Amino acid sequence: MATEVKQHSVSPHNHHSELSFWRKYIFSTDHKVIGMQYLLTGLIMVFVGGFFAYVFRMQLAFPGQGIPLYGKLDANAYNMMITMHGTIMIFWVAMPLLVAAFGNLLIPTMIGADDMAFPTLNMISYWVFFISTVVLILSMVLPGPMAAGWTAYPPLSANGYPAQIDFWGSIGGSLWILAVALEFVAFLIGGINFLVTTFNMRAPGMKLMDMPITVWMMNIAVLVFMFSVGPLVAGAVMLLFDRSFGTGFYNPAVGGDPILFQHFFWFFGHPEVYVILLPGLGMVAEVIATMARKPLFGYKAIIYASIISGFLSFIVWAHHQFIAGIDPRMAVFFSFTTIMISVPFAVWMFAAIATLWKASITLNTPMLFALGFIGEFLLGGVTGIYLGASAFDIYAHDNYFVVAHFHYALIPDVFFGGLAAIYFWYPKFVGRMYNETLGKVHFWLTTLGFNMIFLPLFYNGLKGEHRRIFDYSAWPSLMSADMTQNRVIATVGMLILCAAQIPFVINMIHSARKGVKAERNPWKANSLEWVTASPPPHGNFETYPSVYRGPYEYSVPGREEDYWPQHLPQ
Amino acid sequence: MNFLPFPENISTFGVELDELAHLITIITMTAFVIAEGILLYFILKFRKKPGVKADYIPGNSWKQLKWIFIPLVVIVGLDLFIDEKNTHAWTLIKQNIPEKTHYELVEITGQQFSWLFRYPGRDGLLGTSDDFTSTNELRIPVNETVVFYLKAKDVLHSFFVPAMRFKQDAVPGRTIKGWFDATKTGTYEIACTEICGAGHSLMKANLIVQSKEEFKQWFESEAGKVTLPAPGDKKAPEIAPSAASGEHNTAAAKTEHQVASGKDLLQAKGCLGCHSLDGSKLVGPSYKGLMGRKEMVLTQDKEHEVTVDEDYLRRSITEPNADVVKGFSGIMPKTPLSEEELTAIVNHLKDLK
Repeated sequence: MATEVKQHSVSPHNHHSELSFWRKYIFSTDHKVIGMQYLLTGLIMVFVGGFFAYVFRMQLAFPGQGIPLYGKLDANAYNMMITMHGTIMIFWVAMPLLVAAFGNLLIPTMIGADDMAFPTLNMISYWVFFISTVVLILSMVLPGPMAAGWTAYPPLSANGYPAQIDFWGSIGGSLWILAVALEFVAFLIGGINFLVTTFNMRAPGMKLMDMPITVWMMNIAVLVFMFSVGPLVAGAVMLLFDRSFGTGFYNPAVGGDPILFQHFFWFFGHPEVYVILLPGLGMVAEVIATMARKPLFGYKAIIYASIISGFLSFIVWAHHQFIAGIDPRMAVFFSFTTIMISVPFAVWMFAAIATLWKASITLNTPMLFALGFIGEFLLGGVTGIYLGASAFDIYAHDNYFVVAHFHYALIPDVFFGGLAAIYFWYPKFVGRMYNETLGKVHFWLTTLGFNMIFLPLFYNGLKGEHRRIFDYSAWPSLMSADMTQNRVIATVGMLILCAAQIPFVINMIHSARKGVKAERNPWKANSLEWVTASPPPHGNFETYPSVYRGPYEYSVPGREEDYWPQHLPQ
Repeated sequence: MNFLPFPENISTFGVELDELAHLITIITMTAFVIAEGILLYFILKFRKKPGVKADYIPGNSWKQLKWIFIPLVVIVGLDLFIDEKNTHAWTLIKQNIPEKTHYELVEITGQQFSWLFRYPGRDGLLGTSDDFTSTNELRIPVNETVVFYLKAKDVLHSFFVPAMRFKQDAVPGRTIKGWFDATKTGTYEIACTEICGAGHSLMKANLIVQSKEEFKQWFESEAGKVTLPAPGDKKAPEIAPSAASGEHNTAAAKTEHQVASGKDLLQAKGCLGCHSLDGSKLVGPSYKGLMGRKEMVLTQDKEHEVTVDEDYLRRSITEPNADVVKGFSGIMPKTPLSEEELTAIVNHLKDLK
């Protein structure tokens, strides 16, 4: 069955040379071009989201002073920026970068397919995403942008009740809701494609348990995404109606309930964390196994743990709402499930560390970022235990402890994991080697900047610094010398993190033009994407590989080579 | 042991929360340091050496997997231990709320951008005509259980007292019961920790914990100021207010047929949350000596000078952000007022010297 589908779709690619520039690079149906489009869009949006972080962190460290490149910030713009920072970093950076870009680049090449199952649908997915990006940017510049935090809780996000409908005056916020909904549509289309491709187009001989862990994680992630996103799309439409047409889905005066939206949001919002996390973990595992020259420790155990975490992720959402006014008895259940979800991720962390035991480690840039992910994510993970404990959450909710915690979970994943993946597969998809020295400078500066921002914020959080405050000068208890100093340290860290991206950008652009040409398999890795040319041609493989073993057969005793590619016969 | 940088704790249950945090810290930080230590050790120890191949350890048998499953069992055990301690603290703080006591009862309402506190008056019952209110200042006696009802008028707010280790969202349409018991006198901050609009950063109140005698004295003097209506008017006591949102029982609603005085309205509508009577600068400009004052205002980003007169006052209430006084931000929400109420407020503002 799998073979049949593949062979049917191979033939059309024999005459690809006739494609015009537009069909080849803009409205392309080639999964690699679409992956690159997602990657570049995500990387551009990281600078937009990062710019907002720059502006509000400057304001927090030096309140009321003019900010270079921006000017003076007011409370409304501040609220808009924190909203957009969250929205962009999750939906327009993490999702396109980790899921859409690398899912597109890696799934077909890793399973030995010529393209996605539905190439045109794939192209539509990107262009819907592109439109959502345009709508999002419009939503920031038009009147009445969303400024209620990225969670957009009503009544504030619905402009209060009874609804004071000002359709054009609040068009920005309405477009923001539309942009998020469109973005979900794009990833739903993409997600279906991932699943169909994985289940139907694997190379002959590739069993599910022969797939690289990345392919597994991408598929678990999109399944979790597809099952969780429905309620939020419905909730977002109801919110849009409330603010634009005066309905009262969340208005208690007419029988609605504001907390209903919170359930919709977090029923999606928490699984979303794992949607982002699992692909990141998968790709990092790829890097670690390859650079350690060792089989990924407990491959099957990791997969089962990840599937369990996918299920558990659906029954933890209310830990975002412990103090939101839900029945306090619910917290006991959600606290238990939340603390328990640490278990599958402990499996992941232990497996990653165990892979390094008696390994032969090469510390190049992708490996540094991959190990950085594990080292930093551990702190994000253990601080999650604090917040999973509902009683401590009474104090820490909406506090900088939470801010520091989720940045320690998400930045290692999206930033470190994403960058490990970018460096690791750069030779494959660009066809040239990146510069190792610039890469290492990038890693060390990024690590320094990142920790400088968020370690002090744990401290400030414990001291009671609450979130989304525009100017702490009004709060004497939060203006002690140590706390104001920490705000400055965090801002300096942010500046270092920004500056750290300069060598990255130089490296990417310069190496794409002048880098040493990459061989097919520069890392001596096992999975199928390394079989083909760098970059892979249209249709991916000159001859389609068959698979004879799992992807992590490194340092097998009795073999001269320390790797054993999946496609080599016995 | 007390090594976390918490602010001073002044509530009975805060002790439990602090102990829980310390317990979690000891457990998780031990695990964290061990994990990081092993990670670092492996990275340093197993670097690539010429001629040395890595060991083939796929981790697919129990013999190998025990190295991750044994630590895992330890982690599950510790998780359950934390969960058990947590359930205890949570139940104490949020679930087992004491029955209402006499004086120590208060209704707290969050509104853009101030906190309103309503006390039960001499009869000890909320929702009766002898209630009195204060804005942005909550007074409670020390070592007494205080039971409160938390409400929100417009959007979500969150009532946070760091020194009490207490936080609870205030939700329109809901009345949420809570309690605390302060162990020390003094003045502490109350914050709003749920983003509620442009003035969120300035939504602040003070918690004043007083000795029982001082509190009683203050309470009596405030209760004495309340002018009671004719005896027949007294409404039936009502603790749990109606579910309809925006329906906020205030001093203004005391008498149904006659418009409350401008002075009461300023309090009831939350104006005093942002505008002081004594000339001090809060979220908005002070009411003191308002009439006839010259102010620099920004109208659609253009700066010009106005002299405060009746028209200006009316416009500033009905169109709050049309002219914004220089040095302040245009964040005042529109407050629904009847024509009579508006007139009463404007007339009162004119008289404030």
